[in-house]
Amino acid sequence: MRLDLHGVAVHLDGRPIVHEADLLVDDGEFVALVGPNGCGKSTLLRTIYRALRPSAGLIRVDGDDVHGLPWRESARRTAVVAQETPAELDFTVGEVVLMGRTPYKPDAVGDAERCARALDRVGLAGAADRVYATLSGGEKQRALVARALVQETRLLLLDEPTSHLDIRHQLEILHLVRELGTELGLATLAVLHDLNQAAAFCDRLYVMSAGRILAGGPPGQVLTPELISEVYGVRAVHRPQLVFERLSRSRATNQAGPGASG
Amino acid sequence: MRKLLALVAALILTACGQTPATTRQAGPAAAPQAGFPVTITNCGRTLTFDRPPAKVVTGYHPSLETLFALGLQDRVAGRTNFSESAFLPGQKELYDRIPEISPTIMLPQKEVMLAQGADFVLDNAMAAFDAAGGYATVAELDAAGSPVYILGGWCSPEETLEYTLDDTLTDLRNLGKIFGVSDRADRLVADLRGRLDDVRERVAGRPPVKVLATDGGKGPVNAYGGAGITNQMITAAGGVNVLAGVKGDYTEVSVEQVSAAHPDAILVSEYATLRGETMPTVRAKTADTLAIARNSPAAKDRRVLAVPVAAQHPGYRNLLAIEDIARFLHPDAFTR
Amino acid sequence: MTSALQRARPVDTGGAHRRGGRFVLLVVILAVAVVASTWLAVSIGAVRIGLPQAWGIVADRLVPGLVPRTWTPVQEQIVWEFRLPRALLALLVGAGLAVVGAVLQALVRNPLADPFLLGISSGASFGAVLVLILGAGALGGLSLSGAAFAGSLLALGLVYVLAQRAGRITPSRLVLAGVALAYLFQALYSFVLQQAQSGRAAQQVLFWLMGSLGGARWHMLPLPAAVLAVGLVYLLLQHRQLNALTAGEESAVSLGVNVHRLRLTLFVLTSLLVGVLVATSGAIAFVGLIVPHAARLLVGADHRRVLPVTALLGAAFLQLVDVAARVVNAPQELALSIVTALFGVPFFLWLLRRRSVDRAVTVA
Repeated sequence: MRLDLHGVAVHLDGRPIVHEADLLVDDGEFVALVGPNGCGKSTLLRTIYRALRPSAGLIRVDGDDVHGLPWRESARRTAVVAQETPAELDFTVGEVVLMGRTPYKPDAVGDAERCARALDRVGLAGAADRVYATLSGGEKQRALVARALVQETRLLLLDEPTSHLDIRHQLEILHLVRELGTELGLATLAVLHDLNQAAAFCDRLYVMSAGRILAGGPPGQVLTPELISEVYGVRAVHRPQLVFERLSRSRATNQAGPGASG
Repeated sequence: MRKLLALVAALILTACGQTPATTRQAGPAAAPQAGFPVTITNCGRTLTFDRPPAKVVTGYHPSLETLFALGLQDRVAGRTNFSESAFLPGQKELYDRIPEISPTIMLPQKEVMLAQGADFVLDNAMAAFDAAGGYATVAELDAAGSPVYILGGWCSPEETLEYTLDDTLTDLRNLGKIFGVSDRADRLVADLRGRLDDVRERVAGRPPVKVLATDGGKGPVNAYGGAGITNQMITAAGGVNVLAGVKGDYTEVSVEQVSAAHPDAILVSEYATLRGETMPTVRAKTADTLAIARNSPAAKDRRVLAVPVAAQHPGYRNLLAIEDIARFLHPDAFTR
Repeated sequence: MTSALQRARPVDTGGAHRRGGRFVLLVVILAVAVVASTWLAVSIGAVRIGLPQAWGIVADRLVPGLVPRTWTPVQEQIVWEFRLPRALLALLVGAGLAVVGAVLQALVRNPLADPFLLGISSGASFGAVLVLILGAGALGGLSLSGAAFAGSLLALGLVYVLAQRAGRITPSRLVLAGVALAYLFQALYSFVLQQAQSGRAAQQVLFWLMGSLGGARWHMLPLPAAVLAVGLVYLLLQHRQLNALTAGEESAVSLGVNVHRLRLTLFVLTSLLVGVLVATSGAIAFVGLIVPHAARLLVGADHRRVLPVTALLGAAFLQLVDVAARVVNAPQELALSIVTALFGVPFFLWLLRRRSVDRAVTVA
């Protein structure tokens, strides 16, 4: 499901946060939106999933202006994995995942199956009755991915999915998202803060600074030392360094262990 | 400038000079009276009077009625407002002649009260002297030379429950002593006692009428229990309080109890909640009570009497009201 | 539309079934509690009436002539006109206040929210105080209930006007406007109370403010019942939206919930329900705050379970509390707010202790 932004501007409290953004994500692509703190990338993402209204421009999902769609319909096309988690009230993991079915008519048997499969796919099989709040950070993120999965959309948005996670769980999430994208043909747009990870996992990047998209394209093309120093104010240097990989690709190590907490 | 200062000083001195003048008026003119100084106790305090008070302030109306009954209207310098129910015969004219210092049934707020410069304050409940309500307290008034006398011994909520009719007669005698009119007081006490005895004789031997004394309410019902002044009145008038077993005076009882009580007669309290406007309230309260006690003889005969709540406070009217209630409960006992 | 997910291999959903069974059992237990407490409420009261007479009266009213008449007209009046409507009203008010509490806690995302948070009941109290102090004629002949309901509508309108911004309400603005208005109404009715010359009138007001079901009659039941029924049906149909709302405004939006319209609808619904209930019974504290938490301790946070359990638990709880309020100091009645806290707090503390052991254990 194609995501297409054209000339999108967003104001908050009268102040312009995003100016004239153009952006495109196609089926099967994993695209990253990067930039320094305060550049407006999260604001832009929130405008795409309708938490905010754009002050100008057009956001189209599968050809339709998303802000003109009924709320249910836009939720059937776009799923979000964001930072907000159910606060005090103690939902179980199963109940959190089931929330992904909110835009659809209830279907007791079908929904139960979808949830079970989604949990299994993200490596949380059997965790349905655990209280969400007791999960580790990595497990919580995977539960939210499962929620997005049962929402059965073709566009997936992620807002800094790796923050607060240790390196192993960061990699797990990014691998999971990329695999799902390929398996299901999703268009995926993620706001990421780690340039190396963005470069390693994503097909294309958009780099934002001060509310504008300065560049878009494959990582090798976009992440030049000049751009990086202009946008981030740091020097990009090639040096031998540690690159991290998951220990094993088998699902066994990804199962939720009893009483695990992070 | 100097002239202005002198003028202001003169004005101030004259103003200051006024107050002593008025209190001094009573002094040299009156000779030391027989029977004075008088010492009485009231609410655990000892009050001493060297001479009869001449500048009295009265609180809730029954206290004024009591002074009128003792012929002491000339001594009253300030009174509260009364528009809840009818005046006792002949008292309206006396009432009109006295300056009104409060537009409500309560004494005025502290500053106004202290500024009255009274030498005696008469009221019938401690609530009028509650600091939290902004009123002058008994101690403050004492210190300002305005000793307070509470009728009926209603010095605290517990003590209101222990009231007996004799307490009012004691008050009358005390007031007689304080004001140097003991002969008038004794005559009044004798008259009232005679009336009470007369009522007692007339209703003696007759089966007591089952009475419900209420203040309305759809549920729970506000009603008068087995303690306090209303219960006393009912008993003295030849009735029996259907709620005599309920602890307390003014309390809330369930509609079940009221329905099951099966009263023969009903007394409804009549009073103003704000200013004026008593009748609709009494009608509404009566209707509510009759609906709840639908199956009772009182409802079937519509045997209801509105009792001014002033009569449910200690004082002259209270004792008169017993006769009114007795006539209501036992009309055939009053034919001769 | 089938997805790749559904084409994968089958997976065991056993956990869900185990949970579901426990839920059904709990609902049955609570339903029995509701029936038992109502039986108790009709059978006992300030006046002793034998069980055969009490239930004979009910039977005779439902099926005339079924049972030989062994009771007096007074007993019939007591059981049929006073006790039975009162028992039913206790169920309605208990369920209603508890459900409102649950919904408000979701609406403002605050576990301390209760039916009296948003100033609606203070408005109702203000209306009631005006009638109690100024007399029946004061507000154009409105009855006590009518005045209370009118006051709640006034408060509803004012809170909305104050809290909205471009036609939308947010939880924080709602709470602030509600609390501010609650204080305003309290100040107003305290003023009127202070003007009241009679200690008696003040005592009546105080009793009303602390809640009582003593005035329950048949004609008072249909309106609260209707509003509660409609409200519950709507809320149950919207349970997924309510869950999503609890997960956070942005999550709810991303899950397709029209958050602003839902908030407005919930606000109006809860305000109407509170207004209608408080008009009949005064302000009964504690039920709306604690019963939803008790329900969540028992069945978790999913509103599909929380709402029915909250309603049943609230109904049974208030019923038992009202029986106690009538019987403990008979024939005098205790104000309900006193008894709800006295009974409710120990029960809640017990439940809290049980739960902290339960939930720590994970289900593999």
